[in-house]
Amino acid sequence: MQQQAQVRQHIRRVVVVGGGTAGWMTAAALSTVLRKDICEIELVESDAIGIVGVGEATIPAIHDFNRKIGLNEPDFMRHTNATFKLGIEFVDWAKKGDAYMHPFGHHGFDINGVSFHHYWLDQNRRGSTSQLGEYCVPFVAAKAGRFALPLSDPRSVLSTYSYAFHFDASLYAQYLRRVAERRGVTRTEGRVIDVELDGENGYISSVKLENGRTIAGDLFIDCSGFRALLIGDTLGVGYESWQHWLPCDRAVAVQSRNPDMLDPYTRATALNAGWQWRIPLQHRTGNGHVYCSQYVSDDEARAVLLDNIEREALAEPRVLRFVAGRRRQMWEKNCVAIGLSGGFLEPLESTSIYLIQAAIMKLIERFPDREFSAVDRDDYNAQIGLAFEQVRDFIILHYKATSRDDSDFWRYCRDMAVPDELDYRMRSFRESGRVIYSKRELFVETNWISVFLGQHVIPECTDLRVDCTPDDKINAQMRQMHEVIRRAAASMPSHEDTISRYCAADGTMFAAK
Amino acid sequence: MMTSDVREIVITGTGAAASAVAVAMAVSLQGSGIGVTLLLSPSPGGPRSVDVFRGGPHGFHTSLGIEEAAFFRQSNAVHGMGTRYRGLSESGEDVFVPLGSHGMTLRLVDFHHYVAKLRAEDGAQDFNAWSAAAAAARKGRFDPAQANIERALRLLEYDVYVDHDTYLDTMLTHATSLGVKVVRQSPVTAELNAAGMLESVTLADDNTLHGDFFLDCSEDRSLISHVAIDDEFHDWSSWLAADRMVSLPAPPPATPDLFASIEANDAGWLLRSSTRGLATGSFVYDSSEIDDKEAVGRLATWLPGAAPDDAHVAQFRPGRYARHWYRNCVAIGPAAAALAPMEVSPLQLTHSAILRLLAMLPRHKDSPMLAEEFNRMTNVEIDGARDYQLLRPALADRQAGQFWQQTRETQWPDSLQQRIDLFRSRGRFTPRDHEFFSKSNWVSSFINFGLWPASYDPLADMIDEKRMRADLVRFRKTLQAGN
Repeated sequence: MQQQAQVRQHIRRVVVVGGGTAGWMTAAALSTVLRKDICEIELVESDAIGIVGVGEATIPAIHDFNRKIGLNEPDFMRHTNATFKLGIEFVDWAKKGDAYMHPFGHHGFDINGVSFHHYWLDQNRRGSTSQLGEYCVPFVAAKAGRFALPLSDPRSVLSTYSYAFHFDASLYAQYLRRVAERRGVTRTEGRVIDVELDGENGYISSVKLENGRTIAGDLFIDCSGFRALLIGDTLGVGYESWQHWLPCDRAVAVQSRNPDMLDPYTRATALNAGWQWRIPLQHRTGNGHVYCSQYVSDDEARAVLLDNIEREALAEPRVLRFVAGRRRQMWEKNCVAIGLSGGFLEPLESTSIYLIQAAIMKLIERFPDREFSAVDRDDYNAQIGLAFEQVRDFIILHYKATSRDDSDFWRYCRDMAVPDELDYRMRSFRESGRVIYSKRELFVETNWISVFLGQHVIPECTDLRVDCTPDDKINAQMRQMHEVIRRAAASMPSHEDTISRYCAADGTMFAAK
Repeated sequence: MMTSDVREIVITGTGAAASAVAVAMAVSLQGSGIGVTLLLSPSPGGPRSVDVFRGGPHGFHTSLGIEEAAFFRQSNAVHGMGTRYRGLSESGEDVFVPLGSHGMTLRLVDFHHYVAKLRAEDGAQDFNAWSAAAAAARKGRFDPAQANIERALRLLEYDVYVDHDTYLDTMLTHATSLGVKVVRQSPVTAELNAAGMLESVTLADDNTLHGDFFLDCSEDRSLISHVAIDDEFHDWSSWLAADRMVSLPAPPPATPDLFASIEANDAGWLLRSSTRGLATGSFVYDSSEIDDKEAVGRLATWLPGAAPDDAHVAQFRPGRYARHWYRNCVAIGPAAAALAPMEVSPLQLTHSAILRLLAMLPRHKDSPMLAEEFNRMTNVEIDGARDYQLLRPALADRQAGQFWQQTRETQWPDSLQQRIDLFRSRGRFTPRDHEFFSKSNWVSSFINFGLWPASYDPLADMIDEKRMRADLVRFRKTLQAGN
């Protein structure tokens, strides 16, 4: 019973440096698992420093985070001007004129334990012209501008999809701030000008603010964004660049007036040297042009963006610079980098907030004490590193699987060597139509299939077991699936109606309805 | 229909493993017109024996369309709740490793951290007091209705002990009814085509059997050895030196134990499992320490009612091959790896490999990516199972006998050492892909073999302590009262 005598070396103070999405998500989540009388949480942020407000579009994984911290969905949506999202539409990626969706739901249903896409490929090879999307509830609903919350009854086709949100990330941060403060998190206004290290072990002992105040802590969370004040500047942890795989290094963003109808999906349109997002919120539409500065100037990029938006711009476009990659260690000594200080991947698959969430949950799973177990830290770094790399590979696939030949940028992407793991997945899918993934990854079979097939990575053969079912039977089943899905989608209310009834934000057209 | 050059599948091997593979193939290819032939080698003699399905056969049998309740009635099967180890710890106490999880996760913190907290504050804790399987084993009673509830809650998983011969008969009947051609002969030689693909096998009666895709479940690697000529063998004897096993049948105990028994011995370990009609005991040992006669003698003394004249001896070289799928032939189960039975049962690896292969059946004889991925997943699974088994000698502190003493100095596989270090520090466990044994299995083993974390999860101190304690007491009492 050696532990009996030992006084537990609890973390007594967590200091979060930086507000913004990452900072407030971290503070809100930690405040739900830490007891205030044992461990205080203080967040330092400066109103003078703007936030990047990454990722106005999310993926369904966010439900898990919101549930864990106990958010009320309609309330949080109202306060963040949120709309619903059923997937991401990719336009002009594999070639100009193409469009496909990565929807939040399955394409078709397994037949005899074999994934649907094998049957679809088989039918297509013999001349069927059916589109993969016709067998997918969220695709059909999204294209019709319809949205209803999924049902929980697994027998209903309306239970076969999920959804995410488009929201104003700075409002989400503010909403979480109120949650965190209600649970006892202290917010301190101020700019960090100095960081003090422990002379013995080099751990961070405190940060010093401009106003002279010193904030000491046992655990520091670096949410300072691209500046990486603690993990980079202070602890000197290097950054691993992935620019050779993801050459885009800038984005120019602008908000525009909403169109009359709000599509319940994100759109990502490939351009000559990058791509453009369109994210509809209740009060405005977010737009941004992600580009590679080697091939296009800031002025050109800005002009292209303004040219492409559907309604008038509501502000001056802002330019952002970044390098795709990640911190070599996201947890170093007593400092964990969460958010942009830990790494950056372009928002093509709306994964920014997911990666913050993953970093927080993995930290909670290995929450330290003041002894800072080195094996726990190594394990954290290995796991979060893997999560970044898996998302990275999924994004690279969109650039690699292309036949575009109309610009230097696309020729580079088409010809570049990709990471070994991605190459392996692509070769496997080409040979047999089989997706390699693990249950612990964010993107699983259905996600990879959407992008592979959407970008014309076509398998040479299908699952052998497809031959077990006679053609006419498969045909009949597929026709039936299509019909059931068409009717289910047609039964849904419009996206706008659902917003009006469920989560209309004050001051928007929905509140008036 | 897509073209396919796989029209005939030939399976070779012995006993229940090969027959189960044939059934699995026939079921999942029904209607495709693809033929399945089973070359069933006569078993090498030996007595009746008990087979162990790890984690229960439901997954495998359900996918084969075999109705479990009927199967149970026919085969006198017994449910196994875990394994009891004797003689592995210096204290002389038995170690019982139950299957399934202990308690339930509360507020994002795994259950064992709370028990570690109680242990730090109140003194010794019996971790198994929160295990549904341990409770059932203690009472010697298995209630299927209760088990279904507990299984749904993931509180319970179980092994199944089944009579090998009965199981074999069930499988063969099933195979025949599905149109599998059963040929009771072993391949004598095999013929390759110019591309190095297996084309046919020749049998003892000089008949030749053509095939497009071959599955080798034989211990002597009768088919795979023709194509896998350059294959590398990963030898594991430096980790556990056992290389021989004797087995004996015995009459079943009046009330069969709902667990398997393992007892350490100076030269290896003895193990026993029983159905309602039969018990089997085996002695796995290092042949440089004792000879077969001595081994049979020790086993017969240990196993009540055993007849030493029925002894069956098998030798093996512990380890696995680097690759299992070569060209158009796949080595499965005993042809892929040899791991002495302790926690891992030979059938379990066969079943798992076959489920994996069903989803990867090739249309073309030459499918290098499918082969590579099958090899990768199989190796991860087998190595994980090996680590899980080696965890026992790694944590045991038995001093008696050279066999166990040398494990004190053994350098365990890195993959295992990392897991031990991670758990030892703060009770953490990170699952890996394609593993057979779950986090619950590992945690159950760590703690029951005496490895409590140096400190528990700090978050276990952050919830309402009174409520947590009440929850734990209630849970324990429910299990004691249940069944």
